Amino acid sequence: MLFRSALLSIGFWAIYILAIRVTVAPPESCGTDSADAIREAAGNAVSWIVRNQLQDGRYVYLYHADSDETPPEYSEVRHAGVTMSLYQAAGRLNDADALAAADRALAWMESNLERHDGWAALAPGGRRASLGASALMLVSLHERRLATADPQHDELMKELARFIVTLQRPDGGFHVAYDILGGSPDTEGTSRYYPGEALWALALTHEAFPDEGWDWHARSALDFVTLHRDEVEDVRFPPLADQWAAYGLSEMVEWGLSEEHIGYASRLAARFGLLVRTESQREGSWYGRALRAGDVRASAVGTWAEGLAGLWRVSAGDERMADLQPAIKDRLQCVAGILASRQVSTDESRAYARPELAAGAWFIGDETRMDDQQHAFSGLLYALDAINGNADREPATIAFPAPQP
Amino acid sequence: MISLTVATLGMLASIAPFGAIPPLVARPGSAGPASSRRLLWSACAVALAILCGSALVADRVLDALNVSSPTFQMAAGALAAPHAARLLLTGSGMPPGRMQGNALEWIVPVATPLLAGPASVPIAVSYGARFGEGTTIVATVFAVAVSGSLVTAGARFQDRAGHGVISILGRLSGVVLAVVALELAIDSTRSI
Repeated sequence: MLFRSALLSIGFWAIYILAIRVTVAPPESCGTDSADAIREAAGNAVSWIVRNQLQDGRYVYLYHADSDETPPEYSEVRHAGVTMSLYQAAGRLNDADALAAADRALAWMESNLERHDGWAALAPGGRRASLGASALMLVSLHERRLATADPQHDELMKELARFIVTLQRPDGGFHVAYDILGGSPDTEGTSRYYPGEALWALALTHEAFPDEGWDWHARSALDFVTLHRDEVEDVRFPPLADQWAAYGLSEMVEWGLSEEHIGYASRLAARFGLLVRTESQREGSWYGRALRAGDVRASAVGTWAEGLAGLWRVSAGDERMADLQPAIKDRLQCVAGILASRQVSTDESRAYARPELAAGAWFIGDETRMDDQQHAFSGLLYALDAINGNADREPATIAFPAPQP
Repeated sequence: MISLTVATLGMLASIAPFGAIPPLVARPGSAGPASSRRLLWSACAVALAILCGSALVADRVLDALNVSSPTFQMAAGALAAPHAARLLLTGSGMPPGRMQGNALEWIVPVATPLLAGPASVPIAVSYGARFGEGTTIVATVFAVAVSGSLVTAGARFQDRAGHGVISILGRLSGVVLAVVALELAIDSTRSI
């Protein structure tokens, strides 16, 4: 009786523990833990972007490897984002090719500007100017300024910042776009990520032009993003995994953050951490992959790395988050390792119809999109900072000093 | 201090001494009271060693399983669920008949699951990784000491308070353990 009972008990627990192992706690894997491999992956991603720039300054937007097609669709928001990452590469990796490519991409953006009432906005087609495109163009110009100390675009930067402020609402949030033909902001549409992009752009603008009052707008945007955005945008499981907000927080940490901001930053770090852990479970076993449906593209995984890197800087700059720093660094190293291990190597690219569109890229199915490389690159670049203990996001020196007038 | 309090409450809930009283009191009285007490304290000592050892090897366990601390914490919460459910439904940690006639019942975790079993061992590992080994060991010593005292006094307590009261306390233990399991799961999702 006792023997049978004990056997039943052991049997139940063996099956239950196995079920928990498979469903709740499958093994986690973080790809490579080599900083050199992560650095190389970052460089290869930049090379992909530079190599696949078009004559007019735009980039190959999409590539379907199976059909060997590059569909004609495009996104000016992502164009600005990719250009931003090229300027980051120029400043942080001393990459002259990246700088040249970014300047060609900047020229395309400058040729698609709309100007009204003292502001400028990126608006290809001249009908509608989205907040995100101009915000990321402004961030690009800041990255260029950090890499070159070149003031030639300062006035344009302020025009773009004025556009962002034009769209800012009294609650610190933003209208999503400006209807150029109608001459008024689009008060209907919403965007989850544009407020974070605008927040970071305004924070950088205050850093570049500290006596002009941009910080008031940045603080107002930060309050909106940290306190109200998730509710306004009806985010089902807040906080929204918003790497732009993390960039903004890291920029503003030296200004002094409130308890609410730190609380938000801690919750945001946990959200990114959970996403990375889930992804590492997908990497760790066949059953982990099978039970976590839906592959995640590199543009998403890269944003987790970007977000964690921003929050790592916050933890380095604010004592209230210092205890989270080791855990953030661990997750950051993990997600960087996953990204590096998933990138198509030069050898692997030879199996593709067009190796130049595959080497250094991240595919989901047969598709890679330019922002896969953008977010992965920025994430890898800043993950290396955490690994190396470098709390400064900006280039330590001016990589390409502009000629003095 | 908050960590120590949470760890102590969690360990006490996972050991669930009130749920251990019914099966232990129902144990056939082949041995005298002194022998029974010795047996119970031996079980406590073994449980203490198992739980403290679990806390001490927490990092190695996580490494061996290739899981992060928050992930294991989620699993520990899930592993505590059946025990919480049993306590909640029956007020007892195991059927009384399970304790009958085995001389090694004090050492076999399956025979004394309430003291160091599938609920408390993963929680000890989880707390070891989350709060640190020292905090978890102090919490475990306190929880096992309290549990040992309650279980040792179980027969007298049941005589005075009645079987119904013990059963209610056992069910309440299930509620507390369910809360602890839930806290483990929620904290896991809020951890980096």
